[in-house]
Amino acid sequence: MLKEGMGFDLVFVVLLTLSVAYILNRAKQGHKDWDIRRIPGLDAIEEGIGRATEMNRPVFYLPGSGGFEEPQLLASMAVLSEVAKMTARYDTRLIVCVPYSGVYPIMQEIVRQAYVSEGKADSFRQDDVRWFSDHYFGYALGIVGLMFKEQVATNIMIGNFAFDALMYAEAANQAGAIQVGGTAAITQIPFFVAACDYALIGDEMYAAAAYLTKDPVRVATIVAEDWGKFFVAGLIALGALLNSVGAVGLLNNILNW
Amino acid sequence: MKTALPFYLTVTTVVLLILSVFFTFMPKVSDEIDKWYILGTAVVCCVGLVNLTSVHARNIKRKGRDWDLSVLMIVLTYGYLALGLFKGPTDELYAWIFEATEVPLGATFYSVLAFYIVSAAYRAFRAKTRDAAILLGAAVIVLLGRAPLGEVIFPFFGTATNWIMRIPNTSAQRAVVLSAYLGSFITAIRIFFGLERPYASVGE
Repeated sequence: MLKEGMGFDLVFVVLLTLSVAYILNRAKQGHKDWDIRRIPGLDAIEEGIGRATEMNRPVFYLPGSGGFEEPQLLASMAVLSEVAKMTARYDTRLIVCVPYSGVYPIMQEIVRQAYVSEGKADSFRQDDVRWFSDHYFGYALGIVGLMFKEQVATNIMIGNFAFDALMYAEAANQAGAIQVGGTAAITQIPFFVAACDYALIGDEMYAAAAYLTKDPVRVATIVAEDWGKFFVAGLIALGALLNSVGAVGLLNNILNW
Repeated sequence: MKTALPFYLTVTTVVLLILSVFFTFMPKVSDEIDKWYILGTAVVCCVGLVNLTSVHARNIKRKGRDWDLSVLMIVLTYGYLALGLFKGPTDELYAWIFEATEVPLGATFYSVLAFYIVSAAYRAFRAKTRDAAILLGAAVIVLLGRAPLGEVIFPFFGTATNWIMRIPNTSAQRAVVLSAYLGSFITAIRIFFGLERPYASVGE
């Protein structure tokens, strides 16, 4: 019935899901005793949009590559919604470049809804949610060209990126943009650290929507994530300890149950 | 209905996928849902083409900036599309156009990356702060350790590079990967509970 070696994984998934459910329940009952530490990269988003407003130049948003199977894209969509609300409030132009035609309608709808929710439906420009090509090079060339053409003031890149991220970061830098980059793709984090003014590393990106909205329910889910981290860190420490006394086999048996 | 139906569909799909991952009684469900996903994205693929056409057609109509390039873009896109539709993807001319244009242009563009790396590295490795100085120190050691000449000049670079890559680099990477996986899992749970609904404009 249960697949071999999946017992512990199932227990972990159930425990984490129950933790989220418990903490959500507490948040809904009014317990708001959690706060996310300051993340300079996320504070810089509003600063960057303010800068673009002052300069009367557009804000660029790149959600990275991947379709709906990519969790980073889902996290990026939540951030895009908040960024679009901010640009709507400031009356600043927002250009979103979508990597896949398959996600294009959703991205456009997210931006449109954000403008509507801020009472700025008329300011929404349908053509500013752009798609160039499903192919890396076509997409990258289109973005680099557009960055120079529009003289972008702020470039926000949040999602799953590959080698092309450096092209956008350097092109935006040459166009004089302030940049915020965030990814959980381990191969791209060094490039974002090197090329962007602010970098969101790993799970900071997943916490971005909760941080920007300050929504207690969303913040609560980050607490559950931290519990997960403590649990895994405990397992690592236990593994190190058991390995030191030559009894790690017991832990392996539990993990492979 | 517009938001409730996608939510119930999402919950049903997630439950089915979880059951198929952990239990043996539904072995093909995951593959089947994957097929539906591919089919769904193929259907909405043309929406991108509509957007591309609308942006450039409007630019041509308004005689906006670089409108002549917009004409070229539309002619090339639809010309190549028509050629593919009539001749098929295995046609010699169709394949030649791709091989003779997209492939070398792509390679050229990719090679530009080397210059971007140098430019980014120059900006990142200016030792303006303590963190940047540590980054610079580590980068110089790894650079010399990886270059054949570096280890010949001073064998310490090879040992130090191995230590940097194996201990601090690996442990930091694992910490990032671990937290990123947990982050993506929590995002999935948020979507499962309906706290985030990207399909309905993020909870609107």
